[in-house]
Amino acid sequence: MTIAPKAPRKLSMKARYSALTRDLDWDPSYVPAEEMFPYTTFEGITIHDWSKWEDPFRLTVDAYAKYQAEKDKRLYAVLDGFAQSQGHLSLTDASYLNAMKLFLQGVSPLEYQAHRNFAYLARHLNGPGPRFASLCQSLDEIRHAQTEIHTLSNYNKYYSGFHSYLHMHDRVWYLSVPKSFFDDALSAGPFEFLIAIGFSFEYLLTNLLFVPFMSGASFNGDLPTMTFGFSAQSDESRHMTLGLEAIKFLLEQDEKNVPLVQHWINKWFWRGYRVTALVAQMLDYMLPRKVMSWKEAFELYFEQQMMNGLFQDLAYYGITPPLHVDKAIQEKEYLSHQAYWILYQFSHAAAFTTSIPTEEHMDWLTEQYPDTFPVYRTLWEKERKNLENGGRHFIRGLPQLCQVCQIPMGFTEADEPFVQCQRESIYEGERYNFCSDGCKYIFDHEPVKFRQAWLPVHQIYQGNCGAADLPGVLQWYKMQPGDGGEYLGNVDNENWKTWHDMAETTGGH
Amino acid sequence: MTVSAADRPVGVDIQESEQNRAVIEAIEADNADATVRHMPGMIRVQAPGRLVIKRESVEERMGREWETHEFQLAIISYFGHIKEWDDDEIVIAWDH
Amino acid sequence: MTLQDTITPPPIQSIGEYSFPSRSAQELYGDDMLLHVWWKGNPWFVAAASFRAPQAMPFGAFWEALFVPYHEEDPDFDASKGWDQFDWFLVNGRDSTPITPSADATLADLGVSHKGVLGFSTR
Repeated sequence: MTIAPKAPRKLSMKARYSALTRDLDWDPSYVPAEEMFPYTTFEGITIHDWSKWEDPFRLTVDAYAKYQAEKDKRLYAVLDGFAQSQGHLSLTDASYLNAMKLFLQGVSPLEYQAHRNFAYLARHLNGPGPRFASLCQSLDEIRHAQTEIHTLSNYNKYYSGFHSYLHMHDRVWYLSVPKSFFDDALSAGPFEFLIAIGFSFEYLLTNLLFVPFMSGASFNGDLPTMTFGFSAQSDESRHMTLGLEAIKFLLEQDEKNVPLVQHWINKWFWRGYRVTALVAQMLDYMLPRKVMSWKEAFELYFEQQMMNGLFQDLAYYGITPPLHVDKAIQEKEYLSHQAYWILYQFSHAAAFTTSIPTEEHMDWLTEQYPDTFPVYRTLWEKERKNLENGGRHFIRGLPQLCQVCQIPMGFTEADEPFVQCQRESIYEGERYNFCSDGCKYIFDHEPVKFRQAWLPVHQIYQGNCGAADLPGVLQWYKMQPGDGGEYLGNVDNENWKTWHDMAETTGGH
Repeated sequence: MTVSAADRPVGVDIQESEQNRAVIEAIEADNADATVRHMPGMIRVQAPGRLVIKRESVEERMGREWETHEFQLAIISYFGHIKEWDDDEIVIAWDH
Repeated sequence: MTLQDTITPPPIQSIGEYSFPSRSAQELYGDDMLLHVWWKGNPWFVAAASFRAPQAMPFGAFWEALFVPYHEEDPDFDASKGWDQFDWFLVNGRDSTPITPSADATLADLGVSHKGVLGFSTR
């Protein structure tokens, strides 16, 4: 390891940062500043002095290139070793990869979109400090997209569901959840995007999204994913800093910014939180070897760090915790049960598989959720009987979707475990349905934006998805036999058994 | 319930590796109230109010030169606010 | 039937004219509508079902062609007991208005409108 330079640097970090960012900036003389930066006023945010934006990392372009190269080198060494040693056979079970299929289909394409939007910020923010931080983040995000695709491509050689992920991201019903989330941010102004992705997603929720995935990978023998995850997360700390700097900067620049920022926090907390429902079920149901429950992760990463840490800090500026956060806290007791129950009964139309939890798994869930899981256990007992009678709970139709988060409307009232929330608004004579007060709040502020939502169910019924019947729609999704449905007896499950029997019988020869 | 910036915990998640052991030991030595929690593949160090990572302490334990930028290879995540990051130290603390 | 607006949104902040139509408007479905059918209190179906049906579809035909094939996937559902085994209602958020279906009454007659929620619960 020869990273640290031997010779003492001529300039301190502070001086180098200043020389390589602010000193390279200039004031326009041929055009007015408003013409050079046309997108930083229409949202109603007031900035008096861009030079007040601090980047505590003091990252310069030479240091950036050096450390990113080192991160990639380390990752690719692990990828090669894993592929050469048939590492995929040492996973806990092939069903573990369902979490990774969701990740590749749902999250990696968002990294690419983040790359695009941060490139836009790197051009269009007025201050050189935030422009350079955005440029670094833009490069980080495309690195993440590429390393994730490289890492998971190894599994595509052996397992179903990994092919066509980009095509699926644009079309498939459950992937419209993360896609529409990010499209919402991409089509916002630069400041809303910073609060949406830079702050709410990267700072408030990133730990809930990434750390459980990566710890799950570590616990389930998936060394490459753990490595790309931690490699990406090491950039994430810079992204968190950009998000936090952004919010503090906006709040300090002008008091008039406070209500706008508060609204964006309300909106984007809930938008992001709804997407994390996919993570909740992954932690509690998809990982063969459990790391921690969603409830524990939520308490650790959100309640302890954000509610008890960050929001006390922001109270100084008059910012309060996001509206509807109470509902999210209540839901920690049952979010994962409801999310997995959705995926379980629609997995015949998905590119991942599901299966009924084993007794041992259900005992673990009861331990983690003593107040709520026993109620959901009765559902699985009913399904157990159904399976014994030759059934398998797959819905024979299409679900009602929320106009905002686009998730099938399976989330319940806090006080009634089996009664789904039904909310609606009527705008210009048309009715819109919502899964929660949080989603209704978002729609009610921007109905003209959200009425354009491309809801998969509504589009199928308009005949825009290849065919009117399920096989036709699945073909339009580019799904292949074996991609979805029940895990037990599925091609991945059968191959897994064959490969492991083979490994046992040929071992020692 | 309001807890002052001096008492609210801040912390950092670090990848578990041979290299990073020296970093974690240095943090433990420089932050008397720090607690360490092992999680799959990573280690979380947390302390009330303030956490400091000092270049000299890391170099002592690593037995070679180490620049604070290198901390970017170790860090997975953090909570708190990065108050200072210069040639000699990194400080994580809440502002208000 | 024209529905009365329930919300008044704040002005739009945008870089230009911003007015785009709904991608789910009733006109996009010809003489049909989307309706959501919600078995309140039965968690077997994780969410309400969404169907496309003619507004003039009689309830009896709706029951035969759409309702039963979907819901008989629940092992506890007995279609032979008919629709009288349920209480029926139109849903508006947490409120509801009871209705009494009959074979000949059309969905529109019963008050079901585009993207409305037709609820029912076991008696």
